[in-house]
Amino acid sequence: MNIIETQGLTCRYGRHEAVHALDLAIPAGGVTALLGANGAGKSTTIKLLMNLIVPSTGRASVLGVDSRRLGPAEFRRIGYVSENQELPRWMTVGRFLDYCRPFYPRWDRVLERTLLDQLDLPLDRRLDQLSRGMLMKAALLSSLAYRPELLVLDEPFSGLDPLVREEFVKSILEVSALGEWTVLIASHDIEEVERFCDRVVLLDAGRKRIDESTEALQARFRRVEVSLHEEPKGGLALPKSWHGFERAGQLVRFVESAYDGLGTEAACRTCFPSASVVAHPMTMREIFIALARAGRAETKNASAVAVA
Amino acid sequence: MNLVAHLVRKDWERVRLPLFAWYALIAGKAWCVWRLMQANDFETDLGLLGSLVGLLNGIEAVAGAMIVLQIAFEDKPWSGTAFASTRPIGRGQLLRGKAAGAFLFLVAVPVLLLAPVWLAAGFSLRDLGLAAADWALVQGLFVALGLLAGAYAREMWQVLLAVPVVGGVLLCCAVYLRREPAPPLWLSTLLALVVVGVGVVFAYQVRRRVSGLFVVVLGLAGVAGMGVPAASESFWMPVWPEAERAMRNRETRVEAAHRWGFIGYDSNGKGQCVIIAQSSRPSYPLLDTFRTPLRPAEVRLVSTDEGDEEQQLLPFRLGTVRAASLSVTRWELSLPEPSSGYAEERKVFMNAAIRCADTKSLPNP
Repeated sequence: MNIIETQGLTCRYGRHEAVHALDLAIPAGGVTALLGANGAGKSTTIKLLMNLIVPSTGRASVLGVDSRRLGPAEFRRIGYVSENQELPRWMTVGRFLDYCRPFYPRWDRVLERTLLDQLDLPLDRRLDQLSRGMLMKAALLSSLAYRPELLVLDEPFSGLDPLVREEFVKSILEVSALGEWTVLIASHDIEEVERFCDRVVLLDAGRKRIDESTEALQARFRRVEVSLHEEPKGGLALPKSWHGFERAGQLVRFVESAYDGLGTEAACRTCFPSASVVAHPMTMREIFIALARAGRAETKNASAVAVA
Repeated sequence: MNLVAHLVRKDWERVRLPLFAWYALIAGKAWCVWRLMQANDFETDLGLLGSLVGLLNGIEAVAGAMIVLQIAFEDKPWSGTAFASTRPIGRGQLLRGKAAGAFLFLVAVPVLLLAPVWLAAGFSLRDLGLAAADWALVQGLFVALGLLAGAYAREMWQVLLAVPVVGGVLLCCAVYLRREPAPPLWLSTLLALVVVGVGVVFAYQVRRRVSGLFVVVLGLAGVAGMGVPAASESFWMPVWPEAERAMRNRETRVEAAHRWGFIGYDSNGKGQCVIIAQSSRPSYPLLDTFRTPLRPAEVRLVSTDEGDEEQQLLPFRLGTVRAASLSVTRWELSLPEPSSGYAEERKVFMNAAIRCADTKSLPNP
């Protein structure tokens, strides 16, 4: 069963289209990362899913309910943490938890204590006296103690220094082990997300570029380096799966988005008969950058064609 | 615990400090005006004191609305970043929580706070009911306006910017569209309260800001256009029966809360001998038909000597202090034309006034 589904989900701000005809199907369980550069439409997508803004067209369902009809019953099953969320900062951590508790019949006091210990939060400190990292931890605690079926994190690492970020990621990894929740995390901090996500949805300019498991993604992407022994004859007909093709002297580099071991090597030999080919595995960050560049190049080409 | 009560409790914790200050302001003003009701001295400058208390009345109203604004800003109904937006709080629950909290803190508690003062001042049950209704209507409107502003604005600066603009537009509507005779003030206030209430419900339940704002501004313009009673002729030229009745019947006290007291006599800037008198009464501007005259009206002076002709006195208001549904006004009463001699005037006044005041407090003429 899919815990989140969207069909043709579109959101326009005036003439600007923040999200374009997004089709998503996020299954229950595991961690799905919604990745993309700033302005890619991640937060808008999350807001559409959480019924914080109304879609221009298309529809979304969360926990089997139309997102526009999400109400208290659904929000008892959803945990939401966002960098922009306005917390009642005048409360102490303890008072904040007291305030949240009555809203959730399934609030687990034992889990609350466990999380308090793990996240190392001082009960008597006011939220406005906490660092940004601690504040995010408090928000996370208030969104986990009732064991939500779906946890939505919108840019949780934004503005955190590396040390706090590391602590926060560690906290998420630890609390992930405490329950069976589906996590949807929107972030542009790919390196952090890479460590615990099972599935990646990459957005670029409001459009979905990639939607697959992390393993499959990393398996099909390679940074390929070709050392030419002699100049290739005739014009090069590059496969569509090669991105960011560049040449420096006798060295050719590109990103292969459909890596297939021998198949890729054979394709290289076709273009460069006399060359040695080395394929390097890529990190999520490198894949993300390669795709973002490819996306921009496509947009530029499309604009040029339109102008012509 | 009921979630609405839970929200009210949370909002109480949030605004309790400004609320205590606000209650202190109300209590302070009530004490001030209650003390004045007991006083009959020449020294107190009611004009100055009245201006000061009037300023405090304005501060009280604005501060009340700001407190409600703070309550509404705590959990904005439509915001994409508000904490309540992604928590299991229904829109209806949120509206009920905010409205109940605001009503409780700014209407019910102050009425309970003022009730002993009103009782001590000698309010009848009718006075008490009218004063409470008047307070509820006036403060209810400010509560509703605060909720409205909190429901539609993103930030405080938007409220500060919008209030003079919308206020100016409504004033223009009132000036150009108003009809004579204007409806009673309580009716206009009630209509405004209904319009603002609809706007608040629109913001919380429907979450259509532009449509809601349109409804509110159009509605308020309609109410303003129907007539702001403050601009009506009958408001500016009222009858003034109380003083005349007191003089004619030689009463010093109609009811405990409706007093007409003679303080003494003095001379004015023209060298005339004048009577200084003080009236105090319950004040509920929205509901009461009695209004303080802003222009001099005539009061018939009845001499104690048989056969003397009735004379006309011109009342001049020295100052009014109005707070907590109590009003104290000090008057200077003089003859329209100075008579032949100061001593003669004094005789006329004293003859007239001697029955209107506590004779023990009068100096020997």
